[in-house]
Amino acid sequence: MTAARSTLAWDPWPSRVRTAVLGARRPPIGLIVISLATAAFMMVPLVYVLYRGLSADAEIWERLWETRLPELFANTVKLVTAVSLAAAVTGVALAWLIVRTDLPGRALFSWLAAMPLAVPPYVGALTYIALLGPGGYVEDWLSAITGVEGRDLPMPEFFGLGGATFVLVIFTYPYVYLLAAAALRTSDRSLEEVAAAAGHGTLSTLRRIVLPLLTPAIGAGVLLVALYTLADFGEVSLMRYQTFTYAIYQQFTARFDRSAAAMLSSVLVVLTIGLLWAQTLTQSRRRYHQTGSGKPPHTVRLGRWRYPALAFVLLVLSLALFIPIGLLVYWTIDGLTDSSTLNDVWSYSDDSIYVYAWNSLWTAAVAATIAVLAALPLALLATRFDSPLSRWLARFAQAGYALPGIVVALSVIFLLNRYVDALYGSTLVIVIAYVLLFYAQAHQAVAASLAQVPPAVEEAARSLGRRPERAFVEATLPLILPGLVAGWALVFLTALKELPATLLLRPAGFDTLPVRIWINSSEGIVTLAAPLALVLIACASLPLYLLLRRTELGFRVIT
Amino acid sequence: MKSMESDSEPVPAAEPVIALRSLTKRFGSLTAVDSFDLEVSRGEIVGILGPSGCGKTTTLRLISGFEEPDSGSVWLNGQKVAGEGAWRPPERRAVGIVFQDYALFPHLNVAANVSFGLQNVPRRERKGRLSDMLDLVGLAGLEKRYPHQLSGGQRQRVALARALAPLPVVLLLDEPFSNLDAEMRGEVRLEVRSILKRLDATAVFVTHDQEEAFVFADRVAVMNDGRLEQVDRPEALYNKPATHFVADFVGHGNFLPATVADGLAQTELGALRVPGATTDGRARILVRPHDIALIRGKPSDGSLVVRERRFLGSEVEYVLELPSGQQIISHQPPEASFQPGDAVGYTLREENLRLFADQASDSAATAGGTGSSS
Repeated sequence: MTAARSTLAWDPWPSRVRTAVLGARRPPIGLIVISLATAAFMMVPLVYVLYRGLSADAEIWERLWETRLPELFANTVKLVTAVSLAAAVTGVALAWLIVRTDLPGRALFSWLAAMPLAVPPYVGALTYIALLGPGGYVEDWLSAITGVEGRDLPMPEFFGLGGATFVLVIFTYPYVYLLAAAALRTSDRSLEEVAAAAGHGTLSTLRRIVLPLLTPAIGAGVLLVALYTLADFGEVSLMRYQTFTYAIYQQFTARFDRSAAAMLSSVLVVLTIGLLWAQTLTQSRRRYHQTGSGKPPHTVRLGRWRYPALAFVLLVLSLALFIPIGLLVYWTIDGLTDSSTLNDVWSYSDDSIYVYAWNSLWTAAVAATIAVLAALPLALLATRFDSPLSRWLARFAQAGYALPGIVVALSVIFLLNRYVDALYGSTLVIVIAYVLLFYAQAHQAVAASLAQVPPAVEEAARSLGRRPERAFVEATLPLILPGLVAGWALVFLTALKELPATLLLRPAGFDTLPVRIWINSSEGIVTLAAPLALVLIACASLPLYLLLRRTELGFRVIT
Repeated sequence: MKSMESDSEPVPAAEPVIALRSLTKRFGSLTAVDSFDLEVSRGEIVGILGPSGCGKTTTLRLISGFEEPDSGSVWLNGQKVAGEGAWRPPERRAVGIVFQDYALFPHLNVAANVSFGLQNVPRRERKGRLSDMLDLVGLAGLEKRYPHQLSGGQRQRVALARALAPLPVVLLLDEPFSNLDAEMRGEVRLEVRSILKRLDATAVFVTHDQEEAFVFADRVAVMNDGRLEQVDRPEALYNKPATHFVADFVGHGNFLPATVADGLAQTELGALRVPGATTDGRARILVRPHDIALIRGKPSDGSLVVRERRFLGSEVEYVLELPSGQQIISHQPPEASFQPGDAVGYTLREENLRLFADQASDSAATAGGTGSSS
């Protein structure tokens, strides 16, 4: 056990020390200025999109309302609802089976169940279109058995709501799973013992005690799923399902209708903000204070349900991991046997897998570094000098949370075209977009780790002769370093998988792994897309592993 | 930066090491510390005692420099460090602090924690200082341990060693024993006190526990609502409380309503000759549980009836009821055994009783409510 790791296990400071001294002294003016600048910068896309939407002609609004809006609205809401519900059920079921029962192999499953987060849904879409889509493997296989022509088979329509929901659920349920599992691990077992003593069986206890106590965690997980679904572009575009993001992209790239794109964006942003607002409402009403007994919750014996449960877990993991990754590996190996594909994929050129990977890695790494460094002063202000100002600044700065990638890309394009034309078409723009999009994740990680360090530690350093800056560097920084690393890994992971903003903002000839995967997938060239997807999944697994290893903070950071 | 151990300037014997003069601190509309005056001499341990929220921790933070006074001043070793235009930040006050939750650096081992404040001590002397400190607090051999590998008592001693290592001018302790188990607390208290006395350290500590204040302090300052009620030796606080609050807060006490006339206090327990009964009017008499002795089978003028009997080990606590219904507490040696329902006689040690004149009718009403409480 290393020192840095063991500090996490030990939380010697009760919260009362923390609150007692907050707001005691005024923050340094430099900190306020930097924080103001950060918050203002992060607010730019949101303000701009809302401004464009509000200042648009009423005539165009009317036209949109008559043509696109009702359908897009209905499609988006249907998709978000379906994905949220299915992901909630899947995630909670997996979490309960893995954390609270004697399911065989649960130690391994607890890892595997989170790993689909390393697979971007557009990669999943690519594999399932090839499997289940028209003319896909399953259709071929069925017609070979039955002798019926493929198009005459009574197959359910794969493209559209059903397929889009299916693929999104199997790659986003880990958000619910992770949060529910963390809550289940720390829940108080004496409550369940009380229920058992009162004569309730396993199912009754589950329904009356375990699930209600889990609601806040499930709610937070479902919110993440819903936000992801609202913002997703790659998957819905491949599944040919018309949501706001897809429509915005088409308006912008195919019809060059900037006003309509901006207006649709503003509607999407309002939808997202509404979702966040609804979440805060329910959260403030349903908050249970858990006083843990410190005893680990007891394990439910599955008995004859053991094997059905195991089959369920294996089914989910097969759908989310084994089948897609197996298929990608198959295609990659298949590509190796064909000399032209082999050459296309693996030989080095300016336009090869190595360059795409490098582009993805460096942009994500630079963005993660900038996001964490930018989060430090603002998080410090928000946690150490609590005031209405610092709270609002922190909230404003996290505006990117409510912004889908495509919306940020649009506002960056508009603003650059209008004000800083020189920057347009530089790779720096991609990095800026990543920072705008994912700053909130870095902020939450940094703020969470700062909140765990009581001011008394810094005060101890000062009473032992350190000036404020030295006290921060010597006492606080070592303690929040794991949190900074976690925040970095999180931003890096998300930026690595980012598609729509990169797609719109990249300079000519600058391709990242997601961009190339999407282009190849759209054209149905799976042997070219598969190796890129495998490399992307491998790159994403490392930061994900880092995050999952830090159980305590890691789970919180992912929110 | 000036070294912490530069407290070599000769201090006249009369000069207090700490002086707080009309110290006032407000948080918004709340006055946390209100015209607080206190002087602490060299080698003295002073406890600030009061209920939670009375401003005692704020007082400590004003001394250490983590709060700035709104008015009044803080003097350390004859130098003004805060107030009236003066300001010296915490890192230049040479004040050692033992935090309530110790605030040890979790990423540093015991040796590094204790040496943290020795950055201005010449390198070759640091090792010696470290081992001296660890010997002093009895932690030699645990240098390489990390805070999470220590027991609560050991953490507390590391915190003490860390605060003392730079040889601070004063040591401040914030509820230093509140995080220890009840069984350990008594022992650790005496140990820490003997360490401080061995070093002739000047210390101020804060507590809400009267027993702790009595055992650990040379003098106790009782604080209420930001104001200093009384500062004195523990015996004097107990025996000669200056205010009704002190009398009530320190030790068990019964308050008997009384009317003073002609130097006598008329109470339900008879006309009493109480010291200080000089001004006529309504008053309250403090009767400590030991100042009333029960006598078997001699129901005197007003009959006292035993309502409850609680065996405490070395003595027995009785709850007695007066004719008016007021209940008072009395402690008696275990030999004399009275049973609930017994009517008993009594004698009072009149010279020990204390009188508090009622200032206003509303204060009398509130005091009446606490009359028989302990």
